[in-house]
Amino acid sequence: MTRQGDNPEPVHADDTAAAQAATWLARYQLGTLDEAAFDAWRTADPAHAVAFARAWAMWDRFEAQPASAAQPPLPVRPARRELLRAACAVLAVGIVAAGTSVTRAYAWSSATTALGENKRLRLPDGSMAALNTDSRLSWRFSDRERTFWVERGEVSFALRDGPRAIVQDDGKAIRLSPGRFNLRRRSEAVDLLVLAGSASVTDAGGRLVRADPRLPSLLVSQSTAVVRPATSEQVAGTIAWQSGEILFQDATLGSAVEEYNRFLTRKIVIVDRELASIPVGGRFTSTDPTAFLRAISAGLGVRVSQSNSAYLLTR
Amino acid sequence: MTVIRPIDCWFAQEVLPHERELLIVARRLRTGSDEPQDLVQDVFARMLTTEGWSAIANPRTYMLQMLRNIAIDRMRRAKIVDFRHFADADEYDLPDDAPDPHRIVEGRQQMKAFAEALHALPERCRVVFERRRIEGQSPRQIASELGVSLSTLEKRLARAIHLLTRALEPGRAGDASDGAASERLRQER
Repeated sequence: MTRQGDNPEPVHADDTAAAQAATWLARYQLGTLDEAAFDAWRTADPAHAVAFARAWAMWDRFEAQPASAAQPPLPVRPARRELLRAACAVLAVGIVAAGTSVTRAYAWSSATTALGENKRLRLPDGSMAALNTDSRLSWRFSDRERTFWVERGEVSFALRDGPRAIVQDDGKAIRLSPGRFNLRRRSEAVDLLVLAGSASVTDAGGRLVRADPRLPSLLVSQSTAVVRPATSEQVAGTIAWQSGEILFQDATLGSAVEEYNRFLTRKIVIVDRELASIPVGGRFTSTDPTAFLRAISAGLGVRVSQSNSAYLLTR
Repeated sequence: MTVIRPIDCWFAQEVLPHERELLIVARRLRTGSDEPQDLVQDVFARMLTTEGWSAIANPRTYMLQMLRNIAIDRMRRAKIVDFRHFADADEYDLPDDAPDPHRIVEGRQQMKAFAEALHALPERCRVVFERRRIEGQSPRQIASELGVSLSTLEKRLARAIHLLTRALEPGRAGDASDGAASERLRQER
């Protein structure tokens, strides 16, 4: 049901907010503002903050660009106005300086996923990042460098051309060219897979270690950096999560369960340890373990029972 | 507490000037019953609550992408498109920054609109606004010279601010410059 076209002059629901914002700004300019009341109003609704910033922009802009030549030159201004101008001038200087010097205002931004959650996002430079379950990616962009930090979990990047891109990890800096990468944070190391482009890092001995699609797997820890080949099956298994799948090939039940548990709030627990070494394989949906549990129950004769907090695997 | 925060200045200088273009893109992306203004309002609200706002290198590109993401998100919730549409949206490349002459022309048009709105204000409101904003008179001076109370001043100034803010908002009735901006966007693509 669309209503487009039958309403030539849309009714603006934010008119009330706009009118209130105008009143707050008027009070502020007349020195009659109750700041606590204003703050409560502004934080009550993002639409209020927008309405106020809009009104302020009008007020500010008016002085920045006089509306007509007929205007008299500005006479002496009261102190409050000087303060306001000063506040904005500081910001303007900050922006100008940022455009020309080494660093822009240097704040980290980040994105997080919860257990079982998947997220795709577009970064400020137009690059894409996808976060696997229980992951956290932080980034910081300046005119000269794009810095990434995978705090936990797994992230894939489609990196655009731009300032040099660096993955920071524990004092190591992995340099990425434009391309596609999958990066998984393990407890003591970073596991990087290069799908397109290249990645390089200097190891502890000062040697440059480089990975590209022909030799795509790069494992970087505090002490070593190793580059290894990967079969197309291994590559497919690594990136299966991006389509919401888990792919096991020549895995053991133990490692498969470990992999699955990354996505689950209700964990799978192997009660009888000898089950862990059974070889398994297959392609499953990462968000729902039902098919996986049915497969191992039917195919391997493993008994699956449920407790409140776990799936229990027994003989 | 700060009434005018740095983020408000940033919003005024780096975010709000792109509203007209955002509206044009929103109109094009729109699929359901959402008004383009609602989409843009949503983008603005998110910009004002972004913690890392100062690190956003190009607010215009950033907002165009955000707009697109919000639109996709709404489409997805409305369940009215299939995945091929997302693929299309992925291909949707964003134009780079426009050359300056366009900006200057737009700026002039806006200032003209502003001057007109100022003259269209009710006389009592315009007087208060001009005395406070342009001549920088103190509230007490204005009140005593006009022979009114502070609370009356407040109402008149609020009315002036409200009407002028609305006059500067693109996409309002009587806003005639949409065509030019639309043309500009078309040429960029």
